[in-house]
Amino acid sequence: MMKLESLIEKALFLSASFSALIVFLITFFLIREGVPALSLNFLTGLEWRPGQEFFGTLPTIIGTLWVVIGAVFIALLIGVPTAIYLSEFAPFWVRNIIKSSVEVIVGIPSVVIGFFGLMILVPFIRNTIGGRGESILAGWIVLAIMILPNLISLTEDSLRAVPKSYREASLALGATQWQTITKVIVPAASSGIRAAIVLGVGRAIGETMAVLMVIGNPETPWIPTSILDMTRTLTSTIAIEFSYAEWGSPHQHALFAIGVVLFLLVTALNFVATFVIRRNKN
Amino acid sequence: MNPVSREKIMKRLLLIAVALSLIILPVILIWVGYNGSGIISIEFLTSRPRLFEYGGIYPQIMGSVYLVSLCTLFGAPLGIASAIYLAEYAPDNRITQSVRFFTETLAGMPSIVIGLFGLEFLVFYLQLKTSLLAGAISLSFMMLPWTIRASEEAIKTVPQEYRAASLALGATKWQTIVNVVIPAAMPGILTGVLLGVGKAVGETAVVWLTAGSGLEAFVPRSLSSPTGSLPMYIYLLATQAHTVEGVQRAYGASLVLLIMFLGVSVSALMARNYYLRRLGN
Amino acid sequence: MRSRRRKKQTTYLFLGIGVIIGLLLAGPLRYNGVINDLRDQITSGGGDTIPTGDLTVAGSSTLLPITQECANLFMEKHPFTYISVAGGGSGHGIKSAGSGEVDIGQSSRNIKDSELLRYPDLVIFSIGKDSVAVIINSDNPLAGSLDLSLEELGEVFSGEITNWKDLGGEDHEIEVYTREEGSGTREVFTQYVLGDKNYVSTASVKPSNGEMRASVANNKYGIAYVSLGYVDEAVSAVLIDGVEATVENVQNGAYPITRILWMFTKGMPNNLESSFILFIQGPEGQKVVEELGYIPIY
Repeated sequence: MMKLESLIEKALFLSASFSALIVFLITFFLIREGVPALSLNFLTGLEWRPGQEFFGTLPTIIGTLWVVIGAVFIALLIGVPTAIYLSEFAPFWVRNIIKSSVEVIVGIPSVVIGFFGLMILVPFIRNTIGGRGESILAGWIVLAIMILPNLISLTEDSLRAVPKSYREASLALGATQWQTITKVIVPAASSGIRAAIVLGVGRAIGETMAVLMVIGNPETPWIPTSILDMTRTLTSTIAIEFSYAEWGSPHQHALFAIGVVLFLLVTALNFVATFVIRRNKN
Repeated sequence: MNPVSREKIMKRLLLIAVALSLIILPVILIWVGYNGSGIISIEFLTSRPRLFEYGGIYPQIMGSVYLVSLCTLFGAPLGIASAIYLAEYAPDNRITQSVRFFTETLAGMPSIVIGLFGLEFLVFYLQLKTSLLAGAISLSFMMLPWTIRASEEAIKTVPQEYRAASLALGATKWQTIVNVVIPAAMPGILTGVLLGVGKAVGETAVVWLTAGSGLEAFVPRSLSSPTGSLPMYIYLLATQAHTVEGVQRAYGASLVLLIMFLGVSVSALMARNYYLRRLGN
Repeated sequence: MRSRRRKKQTTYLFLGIGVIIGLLLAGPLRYNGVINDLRDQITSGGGDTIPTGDLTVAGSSTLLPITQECANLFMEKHPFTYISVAGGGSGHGIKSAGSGEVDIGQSSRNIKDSELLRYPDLVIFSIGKDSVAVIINSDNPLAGSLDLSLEELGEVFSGEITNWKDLGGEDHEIEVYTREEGSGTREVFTQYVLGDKNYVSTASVKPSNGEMRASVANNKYGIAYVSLGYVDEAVSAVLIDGVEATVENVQNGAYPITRILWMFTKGMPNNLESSFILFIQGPEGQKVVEELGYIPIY
């Protein structure tokens, strides 16, 4: 009997280590294929011309950051007030409905949102603001839509985690409700909000389809100077080019190297998120 | 400006932001529903695609169903087992911490990276070819960490007294887990699995690299045959269709995908409510 | 009592889920078994000239419409065949046929020496001819009348001419679309038109002929190049040195760009592979080639 119990424990431990195994395998295969192309020039080069074996990804990396930072900023601008409303003002049933719909919405297929961007946003930007429509701006909006639900949910959680006594103390000192929110509650929840931002950035960096469909993917990306410029992201470059890259060629290695860069960025963000959340808990 | 009127303005701004964030998704749902409902017909749902922009989406629907069921078959048991270990057995040491860190890392992994890995490891290295099997396994890598996270949380919320009572009655640890802890944690586990399924249904980048081109004209008949899927079909038609018929089909397929996705998600919430009610009795 | 009932509920739930998943899986597996039995019966009956089984084709998006339509016709003619046709590009087609990942690869450009060295056992078939046409939006005032030389086209696609005004059109930027590195269409276009020049860096990369055409059809100031088979009434083809991009003009050599469409197998083709390739090369397949706007091999 005891033997069976310990066997079960071992089997469960094996399943639990399976995700670690997958992460190791991913690291191994990405590095095996990507390392031949990784070099300083790969990270700092300005020209991406696979045909002539110029693999500079700096403009792509900067393009990615532009798109991601803008999207997270927009999502914060809309998401944090929504979270404040939900935790401080909304009646219980409104909060309930919104929270469960947010839970559902988090997983809405990105290709549908990309389709929306392609059919509605791109022509709209083209006709009213100018440029080609396929632009960083379109990428911002599409990505912000994608990260908004998670951001609202996490921010609301951390706002609600602020003890009631804080609110009462502040109100008792004569502060208005608004002052209480901006001076007491939001600062007290700030580490939770920071963690939500980091997770949002991670999600935005890794998002492929929706962004790919609206940002234009120029032949040779440049460091963007305007929000109406087209650009490439790390993910979109892999997605458009992987199937055409000759297998075993420097081009294919370069695409895997982009995968390595993505992997490192996301793992680093995960480190930061774990760190921020841990400090929050202590 | 006095604080009271400033407060009013701020509150109004707050409501604008709330309205903005609440309006986006209904807009998308209505947009897809409005444009997509016209093409939906028995014929569209039961025939195969022809000449790229014509025909129906039956093989794509079935391809998505097979991919997701297989992915659940691999991902859910593994995820639940991992969660049981992490919540019930794991000693608080380095090994457990690193297992948890790797699970989080996998959860944050961009789907295109998982797709690249699936292509390199499953399709080429293990010679599975671009197939139903390779696609489903790659999808389960995506789904795994979400299942683990939700199940672990659900198991942890089971009150400690349940375990103590069961152990006191002479049950072994495993008996306690199977008979007491898991039934009590079921709503959370089920919700977690179903939300993972919802994620897998809509995933595009992974199946693009591992499962097939998306326009396959027949339902996969074995694990090794390539398979179409709704997200790939939508992507191809959304970007390449230039006729009204093609664009209509992209809308129609989006509507079907959204219905499948919402069906899974809503049943996740309903499953949870049902169990919560039962537990409340 | 209640806990037992709850346990029962859980068991039923698991059973239910299991049954559903089982049913879903049983379908293809059982179906596959039936097919295999049938195939065995047919082949053991000495009828091994009847093609049966699975066939995967991948590669150039230029050949995609031909192969897809031919596959549909072929499957109607031979009920126990299942042909899956995927895109992915010429390089992908050569690579995956050479590595055995798919049964037949297809390419709209000639195979490179490096690829032949890597995959020496590729057997090569030609199934049609094609050209590359330059297209602009039908609402562009220049639609139908724009006539450029190869050099001028090179200047447009490399960014030396950037405004429609310089070509006699409206005062607006020329918005160039291009295919991605590795595409057969891009390679042929580069060879005939651009030479050593680079594509203009603001050209938006579209990973298929279909997306090139859709982009130009939706953009009044767009210009792109596509396979001849993709030219239709939604877009307007540009004349090159006064010659229209038509099948006749390519055949008689007046239109300057021409290329051959290829298919590959790894080693000599088996029964199913060769009957499918022969079907495409035969009268029915070549009729499809012609109907879709490509050029038959005969």
